[in-house]
Amino acid sequence: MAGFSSSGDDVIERTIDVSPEPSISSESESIEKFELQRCAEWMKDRNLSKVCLQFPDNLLHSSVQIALWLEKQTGNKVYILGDTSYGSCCVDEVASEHVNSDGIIHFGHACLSPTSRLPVLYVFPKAALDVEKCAQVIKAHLETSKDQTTLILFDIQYHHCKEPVKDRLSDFENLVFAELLDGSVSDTTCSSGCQMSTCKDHTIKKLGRTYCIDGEPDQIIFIGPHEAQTLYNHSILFSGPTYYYSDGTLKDVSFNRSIQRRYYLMERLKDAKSVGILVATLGVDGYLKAVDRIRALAKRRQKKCYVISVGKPNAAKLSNFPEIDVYVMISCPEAVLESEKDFLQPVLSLAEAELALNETRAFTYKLSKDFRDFIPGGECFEPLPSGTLENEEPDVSLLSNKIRCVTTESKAEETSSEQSLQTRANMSVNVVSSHLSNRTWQGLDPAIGQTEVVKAVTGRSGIASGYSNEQNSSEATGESSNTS
Amino acid sequence: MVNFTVDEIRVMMDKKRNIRNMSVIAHVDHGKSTLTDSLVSKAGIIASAKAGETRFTDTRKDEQERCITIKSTAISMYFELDDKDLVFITNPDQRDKGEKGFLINLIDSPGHVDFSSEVTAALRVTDGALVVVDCVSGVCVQTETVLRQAIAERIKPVLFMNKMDRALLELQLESEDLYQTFQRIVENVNVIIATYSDDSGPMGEVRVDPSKGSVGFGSGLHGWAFTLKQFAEMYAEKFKIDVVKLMNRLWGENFFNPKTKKWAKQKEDENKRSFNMYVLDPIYKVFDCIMNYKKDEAAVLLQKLGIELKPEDREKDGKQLLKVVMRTWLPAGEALLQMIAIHLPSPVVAQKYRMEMLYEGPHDDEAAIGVKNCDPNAPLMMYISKMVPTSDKGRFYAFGRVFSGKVATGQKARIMGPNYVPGKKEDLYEKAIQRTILMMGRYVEAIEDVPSGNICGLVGVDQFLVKTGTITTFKDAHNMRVMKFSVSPVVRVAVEPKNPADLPKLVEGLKRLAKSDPMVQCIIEESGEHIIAGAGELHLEICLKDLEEDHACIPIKKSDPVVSYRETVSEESDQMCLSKSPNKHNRLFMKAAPLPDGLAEDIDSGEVNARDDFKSRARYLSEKYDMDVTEARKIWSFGPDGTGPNLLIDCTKGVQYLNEIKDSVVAGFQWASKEGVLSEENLRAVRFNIYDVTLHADAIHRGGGQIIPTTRRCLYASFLTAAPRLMEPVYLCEIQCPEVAVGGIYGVLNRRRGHVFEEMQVAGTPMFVVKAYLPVNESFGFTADLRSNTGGQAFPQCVFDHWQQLPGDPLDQGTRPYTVVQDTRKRKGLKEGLPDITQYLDKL
Repeated sequence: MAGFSSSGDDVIERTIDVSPEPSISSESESIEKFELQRCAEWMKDRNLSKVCLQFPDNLLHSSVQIALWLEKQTGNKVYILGDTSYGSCCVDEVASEHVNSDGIIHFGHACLSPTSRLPVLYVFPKAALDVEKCAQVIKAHLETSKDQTTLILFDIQYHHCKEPVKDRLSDFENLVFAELLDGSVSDTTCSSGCQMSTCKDHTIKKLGRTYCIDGEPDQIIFIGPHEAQTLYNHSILFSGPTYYYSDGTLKDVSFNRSIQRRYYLMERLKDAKSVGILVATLGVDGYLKAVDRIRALAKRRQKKCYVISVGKPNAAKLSNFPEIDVYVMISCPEAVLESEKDFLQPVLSLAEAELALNETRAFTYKLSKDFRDFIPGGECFEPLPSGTLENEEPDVSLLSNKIRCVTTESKAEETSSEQSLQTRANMSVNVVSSHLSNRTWQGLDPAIGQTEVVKAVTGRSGIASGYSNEQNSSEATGESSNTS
Repeated sequence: MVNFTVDEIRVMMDKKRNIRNMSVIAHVDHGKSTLTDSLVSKAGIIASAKAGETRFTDTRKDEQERCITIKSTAISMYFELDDKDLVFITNPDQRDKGEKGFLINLIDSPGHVDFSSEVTAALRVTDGALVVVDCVSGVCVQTETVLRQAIAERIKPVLFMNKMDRALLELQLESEDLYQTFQRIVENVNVIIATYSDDSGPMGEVRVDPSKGSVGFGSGLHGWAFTLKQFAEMYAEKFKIDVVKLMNRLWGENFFNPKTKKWAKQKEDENKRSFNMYVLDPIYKVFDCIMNYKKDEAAVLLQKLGIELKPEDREKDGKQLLKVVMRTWLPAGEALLQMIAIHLPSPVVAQKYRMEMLYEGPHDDEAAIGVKNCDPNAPLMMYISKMVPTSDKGRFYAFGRVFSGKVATGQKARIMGPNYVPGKKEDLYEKAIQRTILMMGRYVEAIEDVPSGNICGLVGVDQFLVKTGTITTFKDAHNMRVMKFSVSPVVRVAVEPKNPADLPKLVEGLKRLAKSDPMVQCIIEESGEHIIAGAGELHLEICLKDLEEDHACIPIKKSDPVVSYRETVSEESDQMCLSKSPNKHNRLFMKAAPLPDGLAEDIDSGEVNARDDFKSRARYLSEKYDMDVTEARKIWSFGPDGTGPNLLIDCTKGVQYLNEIKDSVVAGFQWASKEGVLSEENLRAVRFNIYDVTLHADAIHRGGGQIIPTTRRCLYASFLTAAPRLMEPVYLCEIQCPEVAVGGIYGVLNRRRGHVFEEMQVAGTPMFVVKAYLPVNESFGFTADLRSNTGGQAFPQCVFDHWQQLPGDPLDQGTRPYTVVQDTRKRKGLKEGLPDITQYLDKL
C-alpha cells in the first residue's frame, strides 16, 4: 500500500476549523442528547449485528463515548465513521460497506437523501426554540393571510418542536406541517394530520420532507436560520413567497439574485463545447441514472462529455481540466460549494442543465435542487424528444452575441479529423484532440534516436507528494499544516 | 408614378459600369433625408411637390415623428443622363458604350452620432458618398467622423452645400460672404480628406472641387440645386467658352470687369468675383423679387431665365412661388444625378482598389480576383452589412453588397459568420438562399438574381448570422473584413420584464435586437442581469423602444443607465508578490505596472496585437514605448479574451519547466484580466511581469489545478500592491450654439466634471463651437440639461473618445472610486467591502 498512497499521518495531524459542540460530561446527558436508548432499540429490533455510527466533524469528540455505550448495551460491534468525501449531511454507505455493516446510525444535520443499500437511523441535533414566541409570531403573520395555504417547514435541529408549535396554531386551517422523511414515517400513507378529503396519492415527498398539499402552497414558513440550505432549496422550489423564523422574528426572503445568476450559468452551458459531469455523491440513490441523463442531454447538442469524480470538489481539482467549459454536478441537494467564485468554470445542477438543454421543457422559475426529480421515474422527468436537432434554428448566444448551432459540428468529416489517430513521422502514436492541440506545450519531445543509449539506473521511489529521496518533503508538509 | 420597373432595374444590374452605389452622409440635421427626396422624386417615386417634406427614406414611424433618421435605408433608382452630360464621363469603366441609363443604389444614413454604426454599415456596401454640409453651420464633428470613415473605407466623396435658402432668407448673407463660407467649407473638407488620404493613393485624387463639378450647392428643402456645370452651360453659349474652361473661371480667384470685359486674378475696384456675379447674383435676384413681391420684375426675370411655370403655380407667391421657381429653374435631382453619375465611381472602378481593404484572404485567389474585377461569372462573394427587420416578427432581410459572382434565389451558398476561420467548421453554414430581393425604401421587390456590383437583400440567411457575414460559393474563400466602428457601446442599461413570467420573451427579444442593430450588445452578465449596451442615451432609448414594441412585445422595466469601468494600476507594485499553489509546492513571483501611455490605445486599434510576429512587435514596442527588447519579445499573452489591452510578460531567467506551465499561467491571466479584483470589471493598461517561478519537479504537482488559481491570486496581489485605480469612459462632446449660450454651456459642463479644451467661432457665422471632454457617466440627461440652460440653443454631439483615470484611490474609503467600486459590487451581487490582500499574497 505504501507505494500507492501516503501514510495518512498528515490527515490525522491536520487541524480543522470547526466549532465543536460543548462536550458532554455525564453519560446520562449524552444518552438523552443522542437518543442512545432509541438507537439501541433500533439495533435490537432489526437484529443488526454490525452497525456504523457516522459523525460530522463537530460531534466526533463524543463518538468514542457513544460507541462504547452502544457496544455495551447491545453487545454488538459498532464502528465509527467520519464524513463522507462530499459532506456530512449524506449517509456514507460506501465506507460502511468496507466493514460489511448492516446498518448505519447517522448523527447530526442530514439532508435525508434516500439511500439504496442499508437501513439508516437518523439522530438529529436538537436546538432550543422558544415555542411560545415562535407560535405567536407565526400567528400574527397568518392573521394577515388567512385564506392562503401555508406550508410550515422546520429546520432539522428545530424539528423536535414541531408538535408543540402545531398545537398552538391549531386554530388555523390551511396549515400544512411537513414531516421529515427519515424512515420513521411510513412511505405509503399520508402523514398525520392530512386534512384533504381524498387521502390518496397526494403525499408529496421532496427534499427530505413529506407533506400533503393540493398543488402548490401559497406561502412557505421555514423555522430556522437564513443560511440553511433547506430554506433555499424549498424557496426556489415554489413560486410563492417564503418567510423564515429566526431569533424571534419572521422575515421574508428572496433568492432572486441567486436565481438570476442561474440563468447566466445556463447560458454558459448552452455555449459550452465540453461538459464535465462532476460526480459528487456516491450515496444518493440514482446518481448513475443522473450521469446517463446529463450525457444524453449533452450528446444531443454535440457537446463533449467527461465524467469526473474527484471527491469533494474544490477550485484546484476542477481547474486541472481547463478545457472543460462547464461542470454539471450531481450531488445531494444540500451540498454547497465553498467559495464558488474561485472556480475557473461554473458548476450547475441537473435542474439547470435540463432547463438549458431540453427544449421540450417549458420555462419556469421553479427549480428543484434534487437531481432525482429529473431522472426516469422522477417527478419532473421529461423524456428527450426523439430525432436529431438537425433542423433546429440556430440561436444567438447572449454571452458573446455569436451564433450557436449544433448541426455543423455533427458533420462526419469533422469528427473523423478530430478523433482519428495521427501517426507521426517517427512512428509514435498520438491522439490529437482539437483543444489539446491549442496548447502551446504539447508534451515532452521524445527525440527518438537523438538521445544516447544508457544503462537503466534506479529512479525515485515513493509517491509524487513526497518521494523517499526528496529532502524538502517534510518541510513542505509541515508548512502546509501551519498555514491551512 | 415610378418611371422604371423592376425588370428594367434587373437589366441595368448587368451593366456594371452604369451602376453607382452611394451613401448620403452628414452631421445630424444637415438635411440628408430631405435632399435624398429630390432624387427619389426625380425617379418618380414621390411627387415632386412633396419632395423635401416626405423624407421617403425615413421609413419608421418614430423617424417621421422625431424628424431624425435612425436606421439607414436603401433605395434603388433608375435614371437616364442626357447625351451632353455623358461626354463628361471619360473613364471607359464608368459607362457602357451607348448606355445612358444609370442604376443608382442609394443609402440614406442617420446623422446622429449615436447611430454612427449605421453609417459604417452603409459605407461598406457603397463606393461613393454624397457628403452633405449645412452651409450655415459648416463642417461639424460628425461630418468629420463620417468623412474620415469614408476615406478609410476608400469611398470617394462629393460635397453638397445644403440649406442655401437659410443663408439667403434667414442670415441674409452678402454674396461675397456666402462665397467665403462656401470656400471655407470646401477647404475644411479637403483638409480632412488630405489628412486621411493622398492624391497618389489608390483612389487617385479624392479632393472635391467646385470647378470640377464635384461640389453641389442648393436647398434640399426647396428642391433646387446646382453645380458650376449648370451655370457654365448657361453661359457657355454667350461667352463662347468651353463649358469645362468656364467652370474653372466660375470659382476661386477669378474676377470679371463688366466694363472692360476683362478677367483678372485679383480683386480690383471695378471687377467682381465671377462666382458672385454669374452664379449668386441671378439667384439673389430671384429671391429678392419674389420674396419682396416685385411681381413685374419677377415675370421679366423668369422669362429671361427661361422658366415656364405651370398654370396652377402662377397664382402662388412668396415662399411657395420661390420654391416652384427655383425648383423649375435648377431642379435638385438633375444636379445631384450629374454629380453622382459623373464623379462617383462605378463598382468596376471602385472594386479594383477596394478589394485589398475588403478581403482577408490572399489577394490572388479566385475570390479576390472576382472581387477585383467585379466579375459576375466568378464565385459569389457577398458581404452582409446589416439586418433589416421584415414584417414577419423575428425575421430579417440580410442586407449587403454582391462584390463578385451572382446571388440567386434558391442558390446554395456558404454563410460565414465573423468568427469563421478557413478550413474550420465554426460559424459556417451551407444553406440555400430562399429569395433575393431589391430594397426600395419602404417596400421590397422580389428579384430572380443579382449580379456583382449591386446591393440587395436576402431572405433565409438571417438565422445564421448575427449582424454581419460573408456569403460565398467558393469553398476556400476567406471572410470579407469585418467593419470597424467609430463608436463603442459604453452606456448600459439592465432590463427585466415587468411580469417575471415573460422572461423567455425578453430573452428572445434581446436576441432579435442583437441582430437588428449593427452596434448594440445584448448580454447576460454574471450577476444574471440582462444588459443592453449602446453608444449613447438616444441609441439605447431607440433600442429599448424597439425591444419593447417589436422584438419582445412585452412591458419592460429598465434600470438607470450605467457605464462600465476598467481597473488599472498607477505605479509599479511596491513589493515582489509571491503566491503559493494550494499544495505549497509551486511559487510564483510577479509585479504589476502600468503600460506606457498610448500602448493600450494601440492595442485597441490593432496596431499592436497578439497575432503580430513577435520580433517586429518587439521592435515596435522598443522604438515607440522604450520597452526592453528582450522583455518585449517575451509577451506571453494579451488579455482579456486573448486580445485585450493588458500584457503578461515573462521576465524570468532560466526557470525549469516554465514552458510547461505557460498555458496554465495564461489561462489564469485571462481570467484575472477579465474579472478584476476590485469589482470584477475588465483590467486596462496593466502589464504583469513574471519574475521568478519555482515549480515542483513532478508534472503532476504543477498541473493546471495548482497553477491557474495561483496565477490568479498572484496577479491580484500584484494588482493590489501597484496603487490600483479605476478608469472611466469619456466622451468627446461638441456643442454648437450662439455666443450668448456659451456661458450656460460652461456652467453645465462644470457641474458634470466636463472640461472644455477648445472654443471657437464658426467663421462667417454667429455660431460658436465648444469642444469638451465629458465623462460618460455624467452624460445622462446632459442634452436636456444643456437645452434648459441655454434656452434650447445648444445641441451636443457626444462620441466615445478615451478611457480616463478616475482620480482617487479606490481602496481609500470616502473617495469617489471607492463609492464606484462599492456600487458596482452591490449591483453585481458581490460581497461589499474591499478585497483582502492577505487572501492573495503569501509569505515566503
